[in-house]
Amino acid sequence: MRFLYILTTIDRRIIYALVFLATALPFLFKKSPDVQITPEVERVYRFIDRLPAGSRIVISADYGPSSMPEIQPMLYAICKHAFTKGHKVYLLTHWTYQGLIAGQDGIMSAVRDFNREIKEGKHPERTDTLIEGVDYVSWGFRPGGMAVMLLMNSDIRMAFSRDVRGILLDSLPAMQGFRNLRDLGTVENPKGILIGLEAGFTGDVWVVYGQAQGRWPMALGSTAVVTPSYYTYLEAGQIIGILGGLKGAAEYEQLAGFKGQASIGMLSQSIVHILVVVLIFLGNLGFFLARRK
Amino acid sequence: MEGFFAILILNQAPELVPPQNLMVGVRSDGYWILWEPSPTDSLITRYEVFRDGQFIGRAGIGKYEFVDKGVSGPHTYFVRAVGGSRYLKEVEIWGMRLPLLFWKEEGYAETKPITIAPLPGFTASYEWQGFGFGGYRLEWGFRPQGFVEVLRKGAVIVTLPPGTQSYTDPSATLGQADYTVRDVNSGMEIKPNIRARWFAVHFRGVKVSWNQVDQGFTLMRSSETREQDMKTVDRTPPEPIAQIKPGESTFTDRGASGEIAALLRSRSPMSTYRYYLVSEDGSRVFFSEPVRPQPFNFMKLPVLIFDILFACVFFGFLFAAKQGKRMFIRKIAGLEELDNAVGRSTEMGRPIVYVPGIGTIADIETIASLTILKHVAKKAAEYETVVIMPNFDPMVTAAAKEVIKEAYTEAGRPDLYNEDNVFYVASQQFAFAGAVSGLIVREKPGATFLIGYYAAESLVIAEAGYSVGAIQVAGTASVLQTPFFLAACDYVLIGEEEYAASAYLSHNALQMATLKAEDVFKATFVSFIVLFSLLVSLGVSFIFLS
Amino acid sequence: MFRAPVWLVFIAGLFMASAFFIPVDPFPMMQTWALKWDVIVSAFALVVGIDSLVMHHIRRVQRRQNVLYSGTLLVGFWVTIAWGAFAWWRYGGPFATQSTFLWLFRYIVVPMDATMFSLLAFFIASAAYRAFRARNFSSSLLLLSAGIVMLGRVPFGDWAAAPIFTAFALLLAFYFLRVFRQYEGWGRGIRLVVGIAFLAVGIVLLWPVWLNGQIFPAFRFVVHHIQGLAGWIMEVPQMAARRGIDLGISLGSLAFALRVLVGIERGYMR
Repeated sequence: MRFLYILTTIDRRIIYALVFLATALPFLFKKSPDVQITPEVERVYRFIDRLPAGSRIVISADYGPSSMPEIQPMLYAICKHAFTKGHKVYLLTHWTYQGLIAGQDGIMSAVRDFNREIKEGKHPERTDTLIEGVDYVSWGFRPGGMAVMLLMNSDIRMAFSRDVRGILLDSLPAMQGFRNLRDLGTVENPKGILIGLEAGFTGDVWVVYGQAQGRWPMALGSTAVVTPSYYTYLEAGQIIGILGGLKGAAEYEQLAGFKGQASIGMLSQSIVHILVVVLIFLGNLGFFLARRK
Repeated sequence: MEGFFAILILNQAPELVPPQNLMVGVRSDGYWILWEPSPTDSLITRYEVFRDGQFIGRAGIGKYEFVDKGVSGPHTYFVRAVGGSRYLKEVEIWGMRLPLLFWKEEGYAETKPITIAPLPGFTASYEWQGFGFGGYRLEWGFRPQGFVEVLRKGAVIVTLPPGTQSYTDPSATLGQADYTVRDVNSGMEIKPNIRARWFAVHFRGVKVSWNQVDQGFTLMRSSETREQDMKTVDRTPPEPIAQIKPGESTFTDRGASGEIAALLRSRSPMSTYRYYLVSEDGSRVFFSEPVRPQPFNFMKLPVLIFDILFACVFFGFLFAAKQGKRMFIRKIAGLEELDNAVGRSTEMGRPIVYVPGIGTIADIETIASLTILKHVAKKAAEYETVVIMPNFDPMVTAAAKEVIKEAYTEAGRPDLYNEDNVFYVASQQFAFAGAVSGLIVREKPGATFLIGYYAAESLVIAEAGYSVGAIQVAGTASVLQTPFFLAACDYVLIGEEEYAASAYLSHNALQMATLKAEDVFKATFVSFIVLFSLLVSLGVSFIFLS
Repeated sequence: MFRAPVWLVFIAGLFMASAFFIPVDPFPMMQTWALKWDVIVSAFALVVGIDSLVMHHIRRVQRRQNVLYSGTLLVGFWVTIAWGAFAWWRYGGPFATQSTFLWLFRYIVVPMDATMFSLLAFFIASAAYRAFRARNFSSSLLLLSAGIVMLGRVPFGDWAAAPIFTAFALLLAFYFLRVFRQYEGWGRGIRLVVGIAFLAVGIVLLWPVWLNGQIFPAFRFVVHHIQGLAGWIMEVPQMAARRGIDLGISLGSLAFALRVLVGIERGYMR
């Protein structure tokens, strides 16, 4: 019974070490569990899947480095899915330079991987690799939040006259015929979609000021902590779906047919969850038995 | 080769088609002439705009609008498309299709003129409705694979994206709830669950009225929204919203309600709506007076009524306390322990650390935290214990310095106050969390007070305090962070206890009385919740919205 | 007593409250002004804040107190400012795409921010281990529901749930059946019964009966229902408690605001 006493007083450093191992080891094995697909995620996937080829996917990367592990896989998976379907991807951010760095890293890694797959012959329908300005455009960051969204509803060029590389938007093939966000069409007759990837509450502003006026199709992806607060918009029918946290990202990866960072992260997350429960039960057992002696 | 044929076929004007759907709208800076490109747009080099027969300006390639600034009153406009002087055309000669370059002087095509005029008596106003019916909410349990059609009395009223499981029909009439939902893919039809929605105050839309007209018209609407900076303007050109039959003289624009409601919800809805009546042949346009925000936002009426009721009860208790009525307030453990924590820290000979969280001075939680700080600092001054206070916001730093100085003076020990112990750290969440945890680990305080607005850094700071064995008193109104504090701190102020703190600590009958007002309202709310839960359980089914 | 600040608070507060209800000029415009003033004042306060920060650390270096930490801060502070100024001159702005100043962000701020955030995983594990103890009835409830929610929210948590519950039940049964003889009277009887009950739960969970072709039917029952149970806990009891707290918070902040407005609450000012 002596070991039971020890269970009540496991040193926190040992717990830290266990958590570290439980988090890190799954990344080495690269195994990932299958997740149960929720309707909110499936709707976003199906919507993008059924858009006519060449549609526009506008992504607003409103998150910083601290939420990158959760949200970056969403950006990556959506970009890759969009490229596979022949859609064009547009990226902007409202989160100053943190969002710019996070968003750029995400889209660039998706482009790199996709270009490699093209060279390997995995996408026979494509003959050339992805080109910035033709297949994807990075608009960058403009301060102003709500004002930027309202401007983009009337004219994107009033908010972003040049892309992040400093090239005039008008000269980019991807921007031909794309005047404002109303060119994304409507839910009934879609020509594109805007996806807000949110670590905070910029998504509220997108829905209330952007979507409510432009009525274009919209979806959200958010960290697990803020996801519950976005469900109201789903209920109101203003957004078509939500990717919630790492699990949402893993679901999207599974739907898109590959296992990426989120799916691998899910294993870590699950193991740490179970570790915490086991620790709690052990601690209780020791505590409970020690008290009765 | 091209040149050869070009010389041959000189002087043949291109056959141009005039621009389509000419429309004139009204904006704050003048008339807005809009048209759709001519089908022969590729041949056109420019569009010329004429007012009352006079040329007033042009629009270049790819532009299909023109703003005639500073005009008002009735005017007649038309737009002329001017065709290119050089163009290619494929011509069949002796069975061969040859691309020929035509070299030509300009061709023209004019639209029919359109007359715009204000219409006296053409007005629009907001239509508010007190407590009333706000449509039906439909819910269905199955998850449709394809697009979903909602049918009312057999007619499709809306098509929804795949997977949708609910819909609210705002244009429903009470008592007529004959709805069917159809999955387009499988053709499956089911009856949805239907619940009526009721509004406390309901914005029904914009009521448009005009003097009776003898012919059919199309009703259109345009909008202009000004943002808070007063420079950004978002304009929507006139869009058709309804067909008006001869003899009708009013129309309620319910489609506008969603947009206007969204604007009214924002803090500064500087928007203007304008309505137009366009004759069926498109030759005459009448416009209405602009619809501007009303001086009072009726959507917030329930809030105002609630605020006034609350203020009445609040002042009622205040005066009752002045009359000498004694009131009972329950014990709040976290606040009782504030003094003990300072005392224990003094016994151990260690400083105390007070962290006001990551709120700015505009957050009410930070203000509440500063009032608690005053109490803690006063106790610390009495016990001659050092208070260290790292700050997230520079404004809070300045305010905290004043508060602590005042507390030391009130305790009679202004000599103990050291300005260097209250300092600004960083306005970045995790930089702040890192700095504060480092500070706690180095200084080994006997007590830490984590009171104010906290986000994800709550546990990082609280764990640092736990690791050095400090007594920890935490308080935040953020429901998301309370569990973390409960796990790592000794005493936690949950929810409104933080706001009640200063009244509670002051032992001032006047302040304690105001807490009683909260209790009265809470009891009222609880009884309402119980009442409506019972009603819903009995089958009375509805949703309230404000 | 000097009453002017109290009056200022009253008038400004009342004005902002009216702007909430009245959407026509001059209220929205004045509100915009007030917000702009807020930005201007905080910009100046930032200067004061930076002064406070830098002087604090310079004094600490002078007193030879935590020289390493304070020195690092001061060096970092001046390097950032100098580098930013250089980038302004060289690239036309510190945040221009090709600016080397962004290296500071990308290679120092970003990883450090992410590190601080991910430390939470370790802290949550150790705090949960300490805090979730079945001290009394209500904390036992908390423990049980926390366990169910955590296991119900991960992909194969449902499969882990049943063995954990089984092991827990069997260990408790083992303990009670071992110690019941040391007690007298009621205590002995109760412990015997509780021990047998736990043993029964463990056996039922592990009972290898083939029922409709399934082994361990009770075990599977737990597996299939734990996700639904976790969802119910989150949607019903959790939400109810949260709404209750939210209700209290909004009433509390309203009463607090009224106290500030009428000047009963003056703790935050001098």
